[in-house]
Amino acid sequence: MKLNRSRRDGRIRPSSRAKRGGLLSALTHMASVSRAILREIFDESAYQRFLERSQLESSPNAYAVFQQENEQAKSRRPRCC
Amino acid sequence: MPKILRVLFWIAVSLLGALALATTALHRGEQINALWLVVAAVATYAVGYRFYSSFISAKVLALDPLRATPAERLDNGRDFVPTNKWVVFGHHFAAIAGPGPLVGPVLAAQFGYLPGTLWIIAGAVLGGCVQDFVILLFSVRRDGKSLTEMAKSEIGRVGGVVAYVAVLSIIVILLGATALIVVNALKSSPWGTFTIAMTMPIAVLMGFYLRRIRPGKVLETSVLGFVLVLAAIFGGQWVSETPSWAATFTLTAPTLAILIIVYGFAASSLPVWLLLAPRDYLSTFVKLGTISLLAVGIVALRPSLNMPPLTRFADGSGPVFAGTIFPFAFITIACGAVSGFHSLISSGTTPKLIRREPETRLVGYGGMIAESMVAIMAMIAASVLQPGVYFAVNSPAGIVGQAPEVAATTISSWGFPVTAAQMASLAHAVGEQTLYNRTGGAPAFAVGMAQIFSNTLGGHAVMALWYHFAIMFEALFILTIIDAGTRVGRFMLQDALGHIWKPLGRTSWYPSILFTSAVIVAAWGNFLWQGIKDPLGGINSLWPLFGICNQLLATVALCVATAIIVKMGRLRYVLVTLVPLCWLVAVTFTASWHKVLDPNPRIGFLAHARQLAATGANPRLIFNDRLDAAVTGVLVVMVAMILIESGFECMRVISGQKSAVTKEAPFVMTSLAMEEQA
Repeated sequence: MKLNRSRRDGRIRPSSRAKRGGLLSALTHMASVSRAILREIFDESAYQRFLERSQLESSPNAYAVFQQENEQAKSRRPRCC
Repeated sequence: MPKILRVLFWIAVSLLGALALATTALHRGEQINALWLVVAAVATYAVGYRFYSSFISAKVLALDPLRATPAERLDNGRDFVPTNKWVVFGHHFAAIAGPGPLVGPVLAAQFGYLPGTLWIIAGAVLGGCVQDFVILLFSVRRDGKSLTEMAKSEIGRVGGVVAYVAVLSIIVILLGATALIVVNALKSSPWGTFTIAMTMPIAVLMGFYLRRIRPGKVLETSVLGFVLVLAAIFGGQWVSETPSWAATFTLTAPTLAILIIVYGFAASSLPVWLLLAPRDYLSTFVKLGTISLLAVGIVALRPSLNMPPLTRFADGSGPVFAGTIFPFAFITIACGAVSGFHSLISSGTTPKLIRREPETRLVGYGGMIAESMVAIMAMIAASVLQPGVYFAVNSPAGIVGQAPEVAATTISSWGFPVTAAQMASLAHAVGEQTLYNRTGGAPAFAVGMAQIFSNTLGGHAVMALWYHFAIMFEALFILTIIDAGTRVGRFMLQDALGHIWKPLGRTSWYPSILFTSAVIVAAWGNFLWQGIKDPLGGINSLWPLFGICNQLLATVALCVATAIIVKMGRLRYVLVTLVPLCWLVAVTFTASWHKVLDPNPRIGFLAHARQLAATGANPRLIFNDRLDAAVTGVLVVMVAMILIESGFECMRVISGQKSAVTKEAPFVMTSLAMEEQA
């Protein structure tokens, strides 16, 4: 199933072509969703959103600012047993 | 699919599940294949998800696809972000899956595979999944409020305070218990210690790569880190076979405990983004990969279970931990069946990502099903071991004796034959000096996993690599929990102390950081130290204590959920949360009573303290028992208070003395539905 990705990561919607189905497109859909999941878990999407929000290009400095911003929120997140 | 086919399909799934459950429960005398457990679990989860969660969605919670979620209304691209449901599912699962569903079932396997398996399946479908689902939805309807805030606003001030104390206690005890698991897995193991030590420079390297060379490319960096960790496992073999290096990395339990305590303090108090963030990513990467690998391995290899369905230790005389099946099997397996800790995740990050209300069903109920499946896999990994081997690994020296021959004779006398030569050969095969008295569950799980994989992938020759891979995987993410947990505990303490003296609440004020970090580390370090000095292995005391805390937190969560359901005017459906709540009250209160007051010194803390006092033992050991009894008692009293307060609140609403007002955010129509239609 083919996906249309909107301006923000994480918003994935099937296109009309995708609705036609088919094994290959189903596999492509699964791969896209898996990739999106991994990007969210590993904060790549959060970094992308940060770049969009602050209108910065990816760079060591931008990443340092993102990490600083992210650290406070991440540190307060409980991790389950 | 036509309706008749759908009906036939679900009838077939239900019958298959019933057949698998019956085979699992009633088969006696011969080994059964692990696949029966998998089929029983998958079919029950499928039916539970399709019908029970659907019923809860429609009747109890009345999920509204037109109601805008906080992710949509408060979208700021940072905390509140409307996210694809599968992405939230993965994110939620990665947050709730920890060592608990791996360790608990391994320990509970001392009763046989049956009690634990039935509890995991039934507990998840009727309790754990329901708790995660309803708390997630209630948090979504309250702008992503935490459990503590919901307890305060829906039940009262006592509810908020109890939830806060329960959360902090569970964090402290969890950290002490899991740190003990790492110590027991790494003591006298140069291979394991070297591998884990190497994860620190690897993480620093990842940190530099991530910050300087490829900013933001976390997945790529994690793959790189994973390759380096695999190299460290191979390096560990060389270290263990080189006498001078082996001596350097052969550490005793107290040394390892001190190192972990120092690590926890440093991780909490120093600005160590270079180490902690990459380690966290690496740990998540390894965790997800290993869980997937184990799932594929079990289904592909279909191992037979050597553990009987029920052992003689159902009577409470178990060597791993003392106590009868009820209540101890139900507190030993918390994560995987019902875990109060999940309610913190369900009312933490996850509700702020939910795009549409109906998606809470997949994320909350479905996420817990996935976690429960991990617990089933852990039960299988423990049960493929020969029971004699399982008990030799998991029994403390204080029960079976120190000398290999004595331990083997004791275990064989229980009806589980094992020889010292067999254990020596197994230890040699996995690259360890000994596998006796490796309490805590992690080594037994690692041996089971190595056994499953070595049957095909690489054969017996690579069993040691599989074993150390499993140990690395468990130790890595337990250490991640230790550093993350210490930080969370520190922030919670700072928040509370800030009400007493404002500067202590400032999270950037260094004296406050050092002070609160020291308090939290001292608290869990005390439990860790207690564990390594305990002649019964520590797990006998600490894991039940942790289980009681975790389930008491679940009691608080279900109390909040029940009060909200009553206030929503859905009294007729209150049994959905009231039944698991009553069950957990029965389990936790009975277990607490046993742990504090049972006259058997192996079970009751106070009886054990009296026994130690009579023999003139170290006063510190006596103090530890009394401390454990006090912690248990205080928590039970506090949860009893919240039960009473929420009971009165519900009665006032039911009798009409108080109007049923919930503290939901006002209804706002979603724009996503129209967007999707367009």
